[in-house]
Amino acid sequence: MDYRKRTGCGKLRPADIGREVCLAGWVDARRDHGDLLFIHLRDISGIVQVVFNVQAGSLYEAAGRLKEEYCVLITGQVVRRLEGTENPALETGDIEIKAAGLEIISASKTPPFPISEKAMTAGASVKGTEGVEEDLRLQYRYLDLRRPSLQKHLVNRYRIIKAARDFLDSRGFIEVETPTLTRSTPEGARDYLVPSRLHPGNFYALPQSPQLFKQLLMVGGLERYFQVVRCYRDEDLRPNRQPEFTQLDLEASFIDEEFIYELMEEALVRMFAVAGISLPRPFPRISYREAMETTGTDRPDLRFDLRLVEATDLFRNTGYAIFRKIIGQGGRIKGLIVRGKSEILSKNVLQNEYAREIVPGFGAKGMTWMRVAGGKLESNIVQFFNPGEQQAILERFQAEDGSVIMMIADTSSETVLSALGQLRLHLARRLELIPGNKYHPVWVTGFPLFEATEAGLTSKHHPFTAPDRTDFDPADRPGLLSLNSRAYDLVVNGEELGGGSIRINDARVQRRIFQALDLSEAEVEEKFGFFVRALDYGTPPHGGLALGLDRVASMILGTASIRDVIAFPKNRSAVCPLTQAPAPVTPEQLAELHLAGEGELKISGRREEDPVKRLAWVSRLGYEESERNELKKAVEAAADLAGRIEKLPADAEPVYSPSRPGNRMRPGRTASKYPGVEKKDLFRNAPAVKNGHFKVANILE
Amino acid sequence: MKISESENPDRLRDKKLIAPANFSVRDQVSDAGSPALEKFTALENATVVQRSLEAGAVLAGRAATAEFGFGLNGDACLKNFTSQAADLAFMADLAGEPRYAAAAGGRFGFKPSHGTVSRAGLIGLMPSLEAVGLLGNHPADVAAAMAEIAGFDGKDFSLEAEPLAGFPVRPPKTESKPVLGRPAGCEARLSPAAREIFSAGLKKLEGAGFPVREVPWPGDETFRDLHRVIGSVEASSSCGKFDGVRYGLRADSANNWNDMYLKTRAASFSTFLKTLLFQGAFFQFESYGTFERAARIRARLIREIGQLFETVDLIISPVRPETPAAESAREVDQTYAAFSLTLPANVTGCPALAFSLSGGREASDPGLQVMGGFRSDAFLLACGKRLFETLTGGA
Repeated sequence: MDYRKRTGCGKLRPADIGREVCLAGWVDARRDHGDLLFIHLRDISGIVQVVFNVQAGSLYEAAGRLKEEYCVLITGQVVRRLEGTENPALETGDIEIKAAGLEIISASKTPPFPISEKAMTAGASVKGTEGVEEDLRLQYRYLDLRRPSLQKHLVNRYRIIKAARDFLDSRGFIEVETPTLTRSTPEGARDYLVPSRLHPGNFYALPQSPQLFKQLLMVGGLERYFQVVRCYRDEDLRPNRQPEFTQLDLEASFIDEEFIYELMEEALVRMFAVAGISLPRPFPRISYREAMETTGTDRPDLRFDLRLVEATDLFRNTGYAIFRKIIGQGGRIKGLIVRGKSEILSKNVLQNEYAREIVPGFGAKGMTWMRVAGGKLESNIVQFFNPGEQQAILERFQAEDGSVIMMIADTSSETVLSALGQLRLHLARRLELIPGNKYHPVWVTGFPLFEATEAGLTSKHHPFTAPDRTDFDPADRPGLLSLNSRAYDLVVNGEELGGGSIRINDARVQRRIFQALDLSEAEVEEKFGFFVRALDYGTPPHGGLALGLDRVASMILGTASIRDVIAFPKNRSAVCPLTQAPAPVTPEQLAELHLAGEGELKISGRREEDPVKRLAWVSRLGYEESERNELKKAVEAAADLAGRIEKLPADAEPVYSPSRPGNRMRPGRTASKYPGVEKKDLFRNAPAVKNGHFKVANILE
Repeated sequence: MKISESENPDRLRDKKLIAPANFSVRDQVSDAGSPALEKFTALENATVVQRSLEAGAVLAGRAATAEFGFGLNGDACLKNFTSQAADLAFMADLAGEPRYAAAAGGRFGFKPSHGTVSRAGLIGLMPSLEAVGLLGNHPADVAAAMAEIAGFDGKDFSLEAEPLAGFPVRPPKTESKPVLGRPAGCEARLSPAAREIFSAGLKKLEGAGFPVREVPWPGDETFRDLHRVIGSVEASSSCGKFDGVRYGLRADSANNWNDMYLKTRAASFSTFLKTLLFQGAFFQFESYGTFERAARIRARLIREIGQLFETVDLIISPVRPETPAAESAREVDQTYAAFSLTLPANVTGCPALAFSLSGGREASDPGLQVMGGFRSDAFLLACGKRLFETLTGGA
């Protein structure tokens, strides 16, 4: 058959009735009615039903051999379905193909999980991949990719990126590729390193971002650059994080913040429009400080109200000892008010869930709550506040009957903001305050340029970010901490989708920033000498931004995970179940890369040299330093023992038990619930229990 | 499905029983002598405890045990057995503990064939080497208890399917005496005084008409090395469950899951046990071939010992070599040295019994151990009674 005559399965409509068509694709599902055999044929364009009639003789017999995921070529005629047999779940549900020819191009083994997502009859259920281990899907990703929903995500991801490309092209940006084998620079996260065969002991690093290269492109006069670029960060595992990810990276010269805001708002509007989402413009702006003070985070979710309220000043002279002590130690008190939800937020919920369990989980030591009824405050601590303080609380929070006020006090302002920020989100989710299908973009601006650390100062973003003024003294720590940066983050629905800044284009300012960071000239030369030298050659004012494309696509397409918008993602353990990467390499490869010594392998960081430490780690068995000598001797004795065992004749098949167990399968027993479950016996010996579960330490840091 | 179900439900009526801390007793602390299970309260009775109570036995007390019952350092079973005037005690037999204790304390110790008595509820350490052992005053008590506790138990998936034949134990119908095999060089590890007591015992047996023949023997070092490789691997694996999640000790201030494991397990085991666990980890993670080779050599020894029982009925040997007593062993090496004569029954899974030749009166008494063929427990106990009565006057 001739593939050039092929029609897409999903494109056929009643207008095609009577047409002779040639289709190619995969058997999505089959249904045998005895004299009629139906299959769903699937290709990238969609699904169509094909019917084989018993009267067709050998054709019908051949169709009987079809199984799911066979790759087939079918010819036939488009006919209208019998009335009452239409399938509204299919775009082609009004028609079907009366088969006239069938060729099995390629048979398929039974897939390890169901792929079909469309029922063959109206109203029937589909098994789907729910309940299938994600690692199994990733191991057979080529089968997983046959699922129409995943294909749709990838197609739409492409369209989102294309929308951005087309738009940037229309604004005079050009796409330039930057190197992926580059030099390790301090970017905050750990680099993935690539050993150099030609330069023993030296390493390339995979880029965490093309930051310095794109700035050099501006020095190089390209003026408007963008790139859809893969970046790499070797960070600790988080559920929705990938070791390699894609950014829409851009940079422009002779611009200011307003240029970036206008450009990115338009780009984002076009990208969201791919999924029919209309973003309101202009995007509001909020300063870092306001975001922190009113939402407790620099990634504010503004789809719902709930703002934090300052209350420290209300309690300056309070008789409530805890508040007085915290304020005396320079601490602060803030709170938030939930209106009209006092039925859900009962005393029991507030005290036993929020004050005892949930808020301490957010890092605060405790939480104070008050309910408002009859124009008065009610709670177990109201008695400690005088009438004036109670009135001030009601006024400050603009409280009305049915409201609940929750306050957190701590000596650390960061703790108060962080805990309230998390509490705000928790309440919003629990009380269903977040409207569905609403998108609330916001620019967060006015970040501090520096953050204080125990050792000194560190850049809040990166050291190339321009300060809001250049008359600073690199030795004046308080003055430096009061500087703002010209950085901006783009946040949608509480998620940071991108960020950037106007950069420093004056080499003198850049050097003073390095001084403020306490970097010596030698250190600067060592780390980014090549870059700083470039600033001496007439650098234009410039700035840019990077957008996390996986995150953006996932948000636009509403997927549960960013892995659903990546063709071949790593799993949560940063492993590719399909290829089993990362994987060991041969000693020869290591030797070639100068990573192995002669004889025993020495892979720095991979194999712990100390046998006691090594065994302690693999068997998760810690020890005291005082035990070390004895353990070392024991391991050496085990090696001697292995030598003695090696010398004994061992010709028999191994025996792992002298008896022959006869009841491994426990005949006659059926699965049943352990009776102690009801009596909570299982928790009698538990070291820690929380909400009916064994409580354990975090699996991830 | 007990062996004696149709025989007599009251066979252990009023027998006073000691269940050490490594045998689960419902609602009582069962810590197995380990920091890992400090204050651990058992939710169910161990199968052997439950069956004994159902057969009329009375729980007379508990007893401290060595960590997971390995060795006798810290073990108070024999002491409590005597002070409570008990009739029976359970004692896990990982390396020969009840046999050694019996030989030293003038009692009767027994290790059944592997896979015949349920280990459900025994907080064990070395699954393929250990068995639920018994300590009693007389072979008849032990035989009666075996009839109650042996047999199928759905909770222990390592049991053999076939019920153990020959229970309840009855006197042999013939007067013919069993042929005793004496391993060549088995007295080599005895002091001169111990050797004298042992030889006198053999002479007494020969005088009573028991034929004694010398049999070839693979060597105690081989059994010791195999037990150590296999035992350490099984211990390392068994102790994996002590992670501080569902029960047992949990170390404070763990930052994350791995940290919780490392700290909890660091505090869960003594240095003594850790040396064994590290050796097990060495074989598991760095020299697995050694473990597999040990399992091959074990198969050969099981075959060779089985062939010995085609030429003799029982194998006799001393129990306690001339080493510092097992009770005072502070290191794993010392423990293995003290049990060097009892390990073969654990490695091969054979049943073995032991008693004192002097009624516990002579400190240098090495005791007598009698090993039977695999699953010949009833025959061994019947013969054991005759040997016991011949040598001790039948007490």
